[in-house]
Amino acid sequence: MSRYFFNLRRDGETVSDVEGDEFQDIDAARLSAINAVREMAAALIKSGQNVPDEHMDVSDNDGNLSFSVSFHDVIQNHLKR
Amino acid sequence: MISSHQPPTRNKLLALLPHQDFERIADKFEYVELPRGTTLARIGEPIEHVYFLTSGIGSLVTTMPDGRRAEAGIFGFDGYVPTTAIAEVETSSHDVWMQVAGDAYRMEYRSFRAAMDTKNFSKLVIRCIEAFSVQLSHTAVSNAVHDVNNRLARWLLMCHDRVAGNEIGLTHDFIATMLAIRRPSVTTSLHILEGYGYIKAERGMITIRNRAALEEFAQDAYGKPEAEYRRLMKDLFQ
Repeated sequence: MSRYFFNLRRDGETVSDVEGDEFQDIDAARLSAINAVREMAAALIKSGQNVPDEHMDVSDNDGNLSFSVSFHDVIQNHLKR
Repeated sequence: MISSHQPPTRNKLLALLPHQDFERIADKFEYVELPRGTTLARIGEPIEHVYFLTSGIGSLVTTMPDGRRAEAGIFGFDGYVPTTAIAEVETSSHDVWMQVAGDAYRMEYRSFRAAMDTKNFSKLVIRCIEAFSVQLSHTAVSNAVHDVNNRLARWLLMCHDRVAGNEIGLTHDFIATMLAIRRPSVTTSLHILEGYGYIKAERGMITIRNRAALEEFAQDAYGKPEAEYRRLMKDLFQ
């Protein structure tokens, strides 16, 4: 199990995840990140707000960037289906 | 046994109980400290003790078959747990555990049942159950209609009501369970409330900075169950 931190970047500013979450592997962390972005984008749309060009930058326990999930890309993927 | 550190009257129910009724059961109480994570009851398992918290926050948690959890309700020095104890069934209907460390006076289940045969004690705990059901019904409505930031404000205010001072030892994981959202959403939501100056959010600790403004932000998501509790518990033994 490894801990990953789900930080949020918008307009060059980052809100840090101070707690993180543990996952079996990076794929599990990525799936969780995508699901989290889906939930956050859906909540914004539901309340009538625009979804900003935001990114979830997921880093590992050493602070290195593991991967990034784009809010717009996630929504785009749902438009295709 | 009554501890000199935290009198039983720190629990609102025990404070309301008429003196002679309290004296009758005083020797049935055992003072216990409850670290975060202590299990007070497990679903389907026999109830061993009934707890009257004097500090800390406990929660009732519902677990889905797939393992996802959601907060059903919270209690502190305003009540007792497990609430199933008054139903004359031996086993708990919920998982209940401590989310913020505290302490309590607890009595054995059979002592609680014996006390339930007395008029004032039973009136008190039944009133408390009704107040708790109002909390639960508002949680159900709030989950359906309010946005996540209002719901977070609501839960923070409810936790603040149940601790002394302005610091609440909450993990983001617990907040996610309280709100039935994924944990990264908690990061954003806390950041928004922090941006408004209502709270300070650090790892494992939320500090309430502006209670009045947080209440105003929560609007109708907070307040009704609290008013109902005051109404139900007022002049109980007049």
